[in-house]
Amino acid sequence: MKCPDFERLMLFLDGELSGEELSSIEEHLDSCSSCRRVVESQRMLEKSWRDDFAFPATMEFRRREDQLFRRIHRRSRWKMLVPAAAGIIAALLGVKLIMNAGPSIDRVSAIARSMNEDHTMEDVEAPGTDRSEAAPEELLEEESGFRTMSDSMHQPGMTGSTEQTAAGMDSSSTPVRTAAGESASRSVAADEVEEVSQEATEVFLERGSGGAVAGECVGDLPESAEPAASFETAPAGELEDGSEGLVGSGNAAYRSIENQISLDSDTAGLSLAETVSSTVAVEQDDQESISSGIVAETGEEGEELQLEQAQTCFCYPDDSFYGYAEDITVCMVFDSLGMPDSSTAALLDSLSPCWRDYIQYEFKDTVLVIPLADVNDLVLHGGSMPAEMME
Amino acid sequence: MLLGVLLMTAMAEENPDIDLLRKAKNGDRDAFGELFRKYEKRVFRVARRMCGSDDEAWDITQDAFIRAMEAMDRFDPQYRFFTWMYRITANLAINYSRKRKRRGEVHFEEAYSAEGQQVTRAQLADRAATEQLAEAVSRAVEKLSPALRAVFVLRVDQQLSYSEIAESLDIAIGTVMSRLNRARSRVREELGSMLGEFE
Repeated sequence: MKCPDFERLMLFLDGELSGEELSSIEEHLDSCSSCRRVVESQRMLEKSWRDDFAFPATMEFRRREDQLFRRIHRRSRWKMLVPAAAGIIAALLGVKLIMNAGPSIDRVSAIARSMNEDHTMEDVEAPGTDRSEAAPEELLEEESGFRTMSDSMHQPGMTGSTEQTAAGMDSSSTPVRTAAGESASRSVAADEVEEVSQEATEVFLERGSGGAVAGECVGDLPESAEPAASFETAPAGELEDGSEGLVGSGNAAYRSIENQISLDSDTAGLSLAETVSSTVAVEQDDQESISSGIVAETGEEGEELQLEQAQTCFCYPDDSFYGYAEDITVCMVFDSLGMPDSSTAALLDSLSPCWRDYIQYEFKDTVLVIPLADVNDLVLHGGSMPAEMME
Repeated sequence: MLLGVLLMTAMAEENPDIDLLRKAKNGDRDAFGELFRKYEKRVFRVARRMCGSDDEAWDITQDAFIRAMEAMDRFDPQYRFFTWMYRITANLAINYSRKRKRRGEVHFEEAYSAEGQQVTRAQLADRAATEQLAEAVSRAVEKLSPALRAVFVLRVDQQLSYSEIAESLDIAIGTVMSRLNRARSRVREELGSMLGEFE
């Protein structure tokens, strides 16, 4: 009998042959040492590889299990309030928001007012601060559903506040400090600026999205300090997703809250979970204060905090701040490669870690004007299984 | 059609792992723990074999469970749950590999040639020689394309049958066979004369 080819021998090795085919190969192997050596060597090399594997310690699995459960649970709580929370993130972090006309504007303004009233620090304008500005009228979308338009009015890489402020939130009539750059630091020592910036940059690089972390503030903010500078300068390709780093910022401001960490989320690109993680990573005071953007509330775990006009948020120590708002339409910008800008990426990250599998590269040179709830659907139920198994 | 949908729904309901997943999603810590422990090692191992670093393997493992939870309503009861988990894991690992490739990163060690280092059958009884061979195989596997590597890992490491691999990767059995054959041939080529005595 002629020697079977390698593939046939491997079918034999894998136990995928039966009947006559199997017996004929067995018969052949009895008499052919060459084929026997092929099968045997393959068996040996595969076994040696298979056996050469060490799992991490069981403790590590348990730790990961616990970590993952908390992450999922946090996410599921998050999803219950997804339109709301993402909306607030969007408003705070720089997704270019377009508010539907009507009550939602009032609600968000109310949050802003409430926050503003709660904010007792003496504010000074930070270097590079940029006042809020209404989103382009062209982007206003009255209808629900998807709408795409040319990207001409929004280029990825546009800097921050000029593109990220909610339409209708007129800074002259409403003392809004939620908008990027509107709240300002009063005191950060120069050496701490560098230290905190470095830390935030590390978080930024590690997580693949941007964000500013303002640490405990002591001393006076030097005029030369440029708090946000480090967050804007992640070189191309350094982020995990290969994107160019944080764009759309330029106006991070420090706020000083005594003995607690404050996060100025007005830089684009930091999701809520990351914001809070960053807080935890730094330090929190014993009152379990959570500070996100201009949100600075203190409460016990699970305590319901009432904001003006029945706005509800929850305070979870070491976890997240959840706010409530709805009827929000977001504007998502994708470049010619289908890559979202950092604000859009932050929003998507906050909805699902797997969004790239669904919509990356789907929308090239596109601005999607879309209700927040639909973004959620798009991310969570948007496509079939990804990654065609291409060689 | 309605009957079919109902049947599929009923089958999905009967899948104990989907039940666990659903309970876990609703905050049942015990259910989550049971499910995680049932699949953690398989998922981690495939991820680790596919990507070459523990850190990435952990990321993939965690993402796989999250992904399963998010997509459980789309779980097709005609598949087995474990092959579905394999599919999610393999897809995530492939995506990670591609992203890494686009970034020009290499997790695995430098290219390695095993030429000239023959391992005899007698030496294979020796632990050091076995490890040496295993390392050489690892390096060869790492050079495979993600698609070939996925098939190789599922067959050789996880010892799935061809039909289970086909189900896991959503490809035809013929494709499994051809990819596996190519993967094995390339691994042997990489090993070169290390397999001297056997060839």
